[in-house]
Amino acid sequence: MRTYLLKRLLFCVPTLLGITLVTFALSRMVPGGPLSQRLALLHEEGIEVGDEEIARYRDLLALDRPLLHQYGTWLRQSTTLDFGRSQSGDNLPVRTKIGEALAVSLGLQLVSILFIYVLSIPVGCYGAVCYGRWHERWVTLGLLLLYSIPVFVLAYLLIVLLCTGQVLSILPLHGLRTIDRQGFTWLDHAADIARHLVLPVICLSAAGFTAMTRYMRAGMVEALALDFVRTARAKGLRERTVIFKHALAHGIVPVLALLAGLFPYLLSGSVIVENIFGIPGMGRLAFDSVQSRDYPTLMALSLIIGIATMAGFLVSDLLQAAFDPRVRLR
Amino acid sequence: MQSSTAVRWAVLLAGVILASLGVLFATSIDQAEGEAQRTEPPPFLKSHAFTDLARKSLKGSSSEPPVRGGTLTTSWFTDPQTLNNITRYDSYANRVCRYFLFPPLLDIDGSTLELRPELAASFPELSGDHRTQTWTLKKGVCWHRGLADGTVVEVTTRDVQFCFDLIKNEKLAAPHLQSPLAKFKSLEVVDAYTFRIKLDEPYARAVYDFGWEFRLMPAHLVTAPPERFDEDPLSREPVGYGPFRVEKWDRGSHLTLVRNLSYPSPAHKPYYVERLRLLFVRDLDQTLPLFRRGEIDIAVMNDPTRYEVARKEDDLRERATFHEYYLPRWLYIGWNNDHWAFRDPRVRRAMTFFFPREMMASRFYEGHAAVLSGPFAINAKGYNHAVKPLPFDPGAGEALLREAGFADHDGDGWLDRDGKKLEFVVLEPINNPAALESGFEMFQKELSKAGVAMTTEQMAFDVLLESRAKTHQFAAISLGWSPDPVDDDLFVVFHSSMCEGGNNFVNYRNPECDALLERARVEHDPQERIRISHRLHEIIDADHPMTFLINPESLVLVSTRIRDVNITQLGSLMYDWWIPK
Repeated sequence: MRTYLLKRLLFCVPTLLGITLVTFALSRMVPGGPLSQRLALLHEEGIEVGDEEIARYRDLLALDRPLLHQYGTWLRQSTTLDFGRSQSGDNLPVRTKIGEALAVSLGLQLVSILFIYVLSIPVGCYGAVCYGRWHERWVTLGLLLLYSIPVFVLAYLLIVLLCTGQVLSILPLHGLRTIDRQGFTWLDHAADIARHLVLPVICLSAAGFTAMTRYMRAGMVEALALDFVRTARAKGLRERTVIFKHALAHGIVPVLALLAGLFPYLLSGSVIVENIFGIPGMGRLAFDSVQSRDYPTLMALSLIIGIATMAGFLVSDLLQAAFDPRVRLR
Repeated sequence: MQSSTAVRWAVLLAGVILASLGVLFATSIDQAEGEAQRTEPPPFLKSHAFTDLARKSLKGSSSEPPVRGGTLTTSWFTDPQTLNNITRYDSYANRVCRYFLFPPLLDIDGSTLELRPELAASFPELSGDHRTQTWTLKKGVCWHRGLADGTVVEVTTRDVQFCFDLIKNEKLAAPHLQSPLAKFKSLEVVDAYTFRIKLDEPYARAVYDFGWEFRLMPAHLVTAPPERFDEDPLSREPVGYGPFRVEKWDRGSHLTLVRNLSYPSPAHKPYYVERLRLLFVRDLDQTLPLFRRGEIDIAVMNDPTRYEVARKEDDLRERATFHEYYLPRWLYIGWNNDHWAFRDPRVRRAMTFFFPREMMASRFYEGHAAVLSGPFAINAKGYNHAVKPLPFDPGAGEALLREAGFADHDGDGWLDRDGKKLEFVVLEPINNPAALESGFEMFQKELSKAGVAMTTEQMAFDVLLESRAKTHQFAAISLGWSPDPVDDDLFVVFHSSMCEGGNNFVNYRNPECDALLERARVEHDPQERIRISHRLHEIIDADHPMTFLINPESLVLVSTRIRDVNITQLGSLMYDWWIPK
């Protein structure tokens, strides 16, 4: 086990290097750059900048150095978690920007994942137990429809139904908290956050919930057909005990193993949902960084999400081995 | 008897002659009046109120006296990148800093587009050779934060000197500020409130450039060196001196400004609102729902169709006033004047005949755009309303193309000349408005009917600008220009010396135009400057280096809970808006 872990960790180093190198190359291959983005903004404002000033600007942003030098400098600094300063115009330390966005996305995604699991496990069990019955088919159809709805369509539908007053106006549609919170008790704060989270969490969880329900249902259907379940029934155990004690322990394994695969999902946020609901999370940061060709932020984001993905795979494998005795790690 | 008959005839003849002269005179007056009506500019500001409640909120309709207080919320697409008054460059930061935190020496009056002293006590005194300006700062303007011991610090020439030196420092990365201020060579402090600045050569817009562009930061609080000036903590927690100060900036969410009553605002800018909140809404589709919920008081509508739909909703007609004003912005298709086909001005004019600009403005912009004939905003003083936009007339376009030697010589259905087919690509930025895109589709169809093959190619704006426009690698390009609202300098756009390194992307060269542009830079008489602009307009219309498309309107909804609402040519400046308790 220890050897396996060491091997996997060692293997992470070249993979990460590869990820950063590819991101670096891709970001530099895209036409334009942080400076041209600023110059374009200035042009729109009717301000023209001379070549001399542009050259000085390039020098100050170190954009005129050879690419290998730029990559080497970034690599050296990032080993100490110093990702430099953003080139998007705010010039904030990248670490600060990512820290702020991560705090928002992490909280939101954790609630979504919790929501996914809390709902998908019982619905999946129900689907397996009632497999083939007419009402189960309707539920399956409903889930399929939910899965097919693009997230932005779902978001706008919910907004029209629940926020605009055209039907109801019971939920906020922007941000994560009310701006004027004077006189709020801790309970008011909690209720305020909960109300703001409802729609983003529904939108973020919809696809995950339906997919996870299908996995759960499939796992349980398989489990319910196994010999040990038949034996349990033959022993005269109650159906509830057979399902929740014996079959569930087997059927839940693939679903739990998938949990680790959601690590990168936790960190990367969602561009669409964050933009629609005005949430300044990681998805929006990544989108803005691409738009403004903010190289340092892009590099840091790819590194962090790369690490999260590899950690997710590793934990997933370890969980698989822990739950399923047939899996041996070498 | 005979003599009396002769007299009668003479009187009758004189009467007929007088009557004819009278008719002729009257006709000529009518014609002149008609001419005058036709050359009059269209109304630039329109406000609509559909109910009594809405009418009460418009400027001058309320009998109640204004009261101070309340929070006014508006939505912006995104945060300002920085609130560092020296290194700021995006439009959001410019608005927050210029209007609320760091008012400039001279401000632009939104109703007249004239300059007015703001931080300066008066307009500067100019030396006879226009090379020296003497400025005096208004007394009693204090920084929002003084010294650590609580001592209040006034804005003085110490701050001016500090910032002037900073801007001149080569290590500072603020090319957008250093470029326009490069012509000001030295600064001499006379006393705590008076200073002189010197230019190498006279420049007509020098007062405006310095008065509007020069920026201040608190010399007593700045800690960062010039090479890392935008890292100064003041970039995130700005300390200004203006009518508002920052109360809270929650990045990505909102920025709240609170009224600073100690600032000696000019009489026309009482700013009754206590708090001004800028809510950052990235999804523009959310603007109207937020307005409906009462979460924002001002909704800027980017889509004219949605604005028109909103105007018809009973609920919104009750809760909002609707305002329309022209942005200082013109959109155009630039024809590369060195291109084998567009070298001929007849071909360029023909292209304009094929573009259904009126139809685009009325159908896709819902009438919220003005068709242009020249390189000025429709409400600019320089716009020559006597030069009419060419009409949509494909027949005239085809005739011009025939005159230029184009015909379907090889019988393939497409026009050609000297064996070359008339086909071209219009480069355009990816974020062009949908209404403009629809206009391009109609343009393409019209050209196709006439045997001209046109396609569009979209690319990121910065890439378009850097790799295609500046290198002249295009046949046609769709761009826009945001002219200076007071007095635009078209030198960088049309002077032949600006083909390389400037904004004359279309390679336009005309010695008469060059001479006028050079004259405009040294002409100080405002009336003469307007005459120069009008002449430039005529020359450019005749040469047609570009097809000037439209000047779009900005469309704004303002909540009826606000009183004394008015709109200026610079938009909703909120100077005297107030909120009843």
